[in-house]
Amino acid sequence: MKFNSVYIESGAIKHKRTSEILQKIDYKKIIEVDHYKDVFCRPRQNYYLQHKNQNLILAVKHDNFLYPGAEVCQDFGYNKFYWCSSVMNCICDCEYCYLKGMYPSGNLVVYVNLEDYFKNIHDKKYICVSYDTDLFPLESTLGYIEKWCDFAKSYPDITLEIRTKCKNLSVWKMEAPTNVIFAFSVSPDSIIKMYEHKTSSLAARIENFETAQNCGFRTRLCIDPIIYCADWKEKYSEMMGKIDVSKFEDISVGSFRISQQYLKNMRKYSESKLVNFPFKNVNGYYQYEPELQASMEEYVCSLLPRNKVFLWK
Amino acid sequence: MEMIVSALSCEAIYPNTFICGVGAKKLPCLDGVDHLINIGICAGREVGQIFLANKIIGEKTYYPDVFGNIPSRNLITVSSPVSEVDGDMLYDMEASNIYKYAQKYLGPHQMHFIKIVSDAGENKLDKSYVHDLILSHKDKIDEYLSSLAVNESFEFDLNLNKLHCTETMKARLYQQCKYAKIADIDISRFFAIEARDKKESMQLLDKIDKYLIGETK
Repeated sequence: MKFNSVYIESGAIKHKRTSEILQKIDYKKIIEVDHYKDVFCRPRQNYYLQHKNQNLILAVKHDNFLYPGAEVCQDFGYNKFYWCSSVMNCICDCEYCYLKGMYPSGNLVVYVNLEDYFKNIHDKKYICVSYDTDLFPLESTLGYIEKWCDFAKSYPDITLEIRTKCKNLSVWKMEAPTNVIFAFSVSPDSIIKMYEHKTSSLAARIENFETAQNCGFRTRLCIDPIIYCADWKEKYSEMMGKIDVSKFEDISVGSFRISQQYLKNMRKYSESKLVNFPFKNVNGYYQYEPELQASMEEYVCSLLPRNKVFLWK
Repeated sequence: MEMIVSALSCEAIYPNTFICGVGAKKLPCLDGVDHLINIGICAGREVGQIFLANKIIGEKTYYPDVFGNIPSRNLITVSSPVSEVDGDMLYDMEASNIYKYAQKYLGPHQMHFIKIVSDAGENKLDKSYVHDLILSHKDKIDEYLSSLAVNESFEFDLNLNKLHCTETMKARLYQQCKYAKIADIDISRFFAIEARDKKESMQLLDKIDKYLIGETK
């Protein structure tokens, strides 16, 4: 994995994980910073330009280890649904990703003190641990998936969700924990090629979840976000023809939606066709026209066993 | 538009360079400027080498973004020339003041501090030595300058007199035009339509949305 510069927060310099990470990556320069926000939260940054030339920021998380789930997130029936970010930002480059509108910087932040998360969140019920990143392509560098799974094994009352669009078969070599659900996002190949840059192809994603299932891991399928294109019916139908849904515990379905402010931020710099699509603003969230949204969601659901489907609220 | 700033005229290798004086006492208006590039000499151990500043330490510490192939170093802005240098640190007399001023207009990806190491703490430098030293790196600087991205703004020639749009509706129309351009959809026929009031304008915008969605490949 290559980065231009590595910014290291003064509190993270002597952390054991910092030196472990530095040994595993290529970088040109280390730049010491007092606090990661001195770099990450500078005003007027260009997320897109930074993401193209991504730098790594190593930091220590001191508080706010958990956040309550937002309204537009699927809670899978859990009353107390939380998410946490041990890594902020992603090395994948999905044009529609809300991180591009949420964060002021496109640089990748890794909190090196993962163990402090474990101390602070063990009394919660359901936690998504990779909402703000995809841990799969980072696993050979960070090993965080394995560590989250080890943590889950010690706290059987917790359920964790780890979501990905990337293939990494080495993850499935560990013993499958009973309380970690691996969520696999899929899209038709044409959508992946057009909008989900640096992610795995559909075939590779299928190989990834089939390997997980064969190794006894709990799995969830995410057809979320559904993205509109002129021949969306054919594309989604063709995709579902390649996926055996019987081995998935449940299936999350939802068409693209994003908060008004995030999309506004993204449109400042993005010339993506998808980001600039004429979405409808419904109560502060941009989404497809209600008729189009309903027909896409209903059609995709019609291809699935309804008793497994969670449709976003 | 690029604004090149140097402290001394002997550091200026491009026409229209703004001379800000030692310590950057006077600085240019940056309205409409996409990139500010400070080109000048600095003190350091690696005499003759060219660097970008990745961290500028002055009254406050600043972190300009660093892109491209020119190597980067930390830079301390001092108020008087140094007689000794430390490690791979660079020393100048302007960068911190320039950043402090320019950050009100520009982001960290738009401020570039290109420094050529002229000496390791000697105070008297010949003007022609300084000029020739910077000129010897002109190819690298040219390459760097040509790589700088300019944020292209979308501009549309719309006759808004025919419409009765609120500011929000104007923003929506602008967004529709932007999408049409990106998706290569011709919506010019809608601009011949006259709307008598706000309600009709809104209906027109709804029609454009439907047309754009229908024409999307």
